[in-house]
Amino acid sequence: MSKVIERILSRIPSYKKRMMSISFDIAAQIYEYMKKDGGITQKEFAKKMSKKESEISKWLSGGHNFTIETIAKIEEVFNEKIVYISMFAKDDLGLEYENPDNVIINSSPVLVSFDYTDTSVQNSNYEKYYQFTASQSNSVN
Amino acid sequence: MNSQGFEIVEFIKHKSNHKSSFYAIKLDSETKSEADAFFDKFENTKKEEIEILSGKIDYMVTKRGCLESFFELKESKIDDNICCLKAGKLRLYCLRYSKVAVILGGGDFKDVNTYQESEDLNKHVKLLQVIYALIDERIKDKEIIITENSITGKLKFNL
Repeated sequence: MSKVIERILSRIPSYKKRMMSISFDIAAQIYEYMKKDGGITQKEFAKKMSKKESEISKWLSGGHNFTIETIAKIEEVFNEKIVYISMFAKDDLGLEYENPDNVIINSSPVLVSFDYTDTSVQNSNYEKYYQFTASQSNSVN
Repeated sequence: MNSQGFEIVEFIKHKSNHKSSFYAIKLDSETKSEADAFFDKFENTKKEEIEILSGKIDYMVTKRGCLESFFELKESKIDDNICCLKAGKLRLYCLRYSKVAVILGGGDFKDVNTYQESEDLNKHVKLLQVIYALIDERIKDKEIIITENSITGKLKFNL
């Protein structure tokens, strides 16, 4: 492995790596939606988003720090989810989410990409769901 | 080309679970690969952009493969696979072989509208055009094989 890239990667703080990974996931997901069902061009997408095409190109190339507002607008354009919060994994997994009224949820939401092809994400959600429900049932009992 | 030859070397050490492979071009006349020279040059002066480019490469290797949307395509004329990875105004030129593999060339800071306007950027693209043609010949002769996530075969070129 290139010593230079190894050095650079080792210096990037882990939160930043996570941030970049989420941003790359979002960019990849937008691109997938653009291609889906005949698809829309970058120009058309830019128009729907009221953005310049160059801005969309920047988003798609990865590394953009998307705001929640932007993500919400993108989801509206495609009428699809871009980001899921793992504690609401019900939709992904088809599992029943139970939240007894007397239980205070003390769980940090984690943003995960919506990627059915990535089984590790599904498994990860599945594990989180069970960790969460297990901890809640312990506290209830 | 100002060298006696070149070699395609691993940029990221290949593992079987990787989604794609990244290689670099190492000219015989140089001590570092073109990509190493690029990252070395901008590591401290364009830290943010270099981190994004490094993170992007790492992501494509370990998670998703070489996604088309991460590359600026058609950087050069006709069908020569030349594209670039960009972050801010940094451009790293490369040859992309679908989602499977990328061969990184060199790159530089782009402060002009088109790469042709910059002597440095133009130099990197022209080098890749020559290299693309040579690799293409070997692919046709089956001396270089693109597998499902790597490039194998005769990767050393003596000119």
